[in-house]
Amino acid sequence: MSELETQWLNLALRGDAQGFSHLIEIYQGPVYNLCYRMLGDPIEAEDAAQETFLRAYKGLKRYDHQRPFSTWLLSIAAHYCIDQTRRRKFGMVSIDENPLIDPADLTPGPEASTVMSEEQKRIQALLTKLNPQDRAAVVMRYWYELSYEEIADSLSLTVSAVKSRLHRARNELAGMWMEQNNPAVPVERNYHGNAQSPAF
Amino acid sequence: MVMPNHQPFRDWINTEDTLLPEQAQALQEHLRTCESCRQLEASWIQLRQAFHTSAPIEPAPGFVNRWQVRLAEQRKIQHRRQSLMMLAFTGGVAFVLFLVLSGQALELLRSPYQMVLLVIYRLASLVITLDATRDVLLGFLKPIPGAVAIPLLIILSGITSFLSVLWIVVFRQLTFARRIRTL
Repeated sequence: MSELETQWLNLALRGDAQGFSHLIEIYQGPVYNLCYRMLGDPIEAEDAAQETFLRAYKGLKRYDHQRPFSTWLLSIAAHYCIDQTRRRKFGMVSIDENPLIDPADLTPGPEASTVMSEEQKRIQALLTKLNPQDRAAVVMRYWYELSYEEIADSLSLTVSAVKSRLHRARNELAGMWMEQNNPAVPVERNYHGNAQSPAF
Repeated sequence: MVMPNHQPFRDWINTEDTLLPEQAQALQEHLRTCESCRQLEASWIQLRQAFHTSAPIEPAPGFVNRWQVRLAEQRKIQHRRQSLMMLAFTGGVAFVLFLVLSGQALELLRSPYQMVLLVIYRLASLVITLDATRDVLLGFLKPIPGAVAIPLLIILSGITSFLSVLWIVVFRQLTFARRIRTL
């Protein structure tokens, strides 16, 4: 964290929302990207990213300065998105939860749609097939290059659980990718990890 | 025909740990003969490359402003909730007082004579207390010459007024929602 960011953080800790706004300017991209990868929908990703920053602002006093600020934010975002995915699964997400925002204004920046190549769309589609915690671990590992320890810390898991989840996720992703590229090749079910039970 | 067990090789293909030399050699030998595992390895390499080349997706412009609006809205809701709670608390206290006073009023209706005596007793006690307080204050002020006593009283009144205004300002600052500047 740079000296300027530390100053903004200290301002935010004293209740200055303006100081925290500067931090949002810096971290909005990574947080939004994680939310988008987790939820796969721009409106839900916007809502999740906004909520992440609100929770972070309210819980700023609980932030441990020994940890990187970005990891702390990503941890809040990941937990929120995992909860949202579970709630969505049980049909508990309300459309009226965020009445302030006009969905028309929330489509990602113009660059996003062009950047999202076919391959990227395929990756996004594959990600959504993973278990939410595995998905969060994959995004943290391969988009943000967090260490096993940081992922474990962020997702409240043990390091061995993270390794196990990532291994399973890699198996599933590679299997699904192979299936899509070569539908003629028979793929054994254990690529999808269905026969394996999580070790945690 | 015995089917080969692919699982250890697939684990090695997907692991991020460094393989032992003998494991790496066994994997290479297996990959030479196993089309399925070769394709799995190629898929994983393609996927990793796709992860690394994928551009992060940015939110729509004005994200910070939307966050500030949302924060202000949440504060407003929180403030409204606090006001409602305060109102409910005050209403509760008023209701309890009403019950107590109603009880006393009922007493008054049952035995007005005793209640009148009690009120007279309370009033007399109040007058005696005020009288005693005045005597104590005069006892303090007596040694001070008349010319000094008046400015002292003015200063004391000034300090009391200032403290009252300060109290009101602090109360307002603590109870009203703060506004935030937009970028």
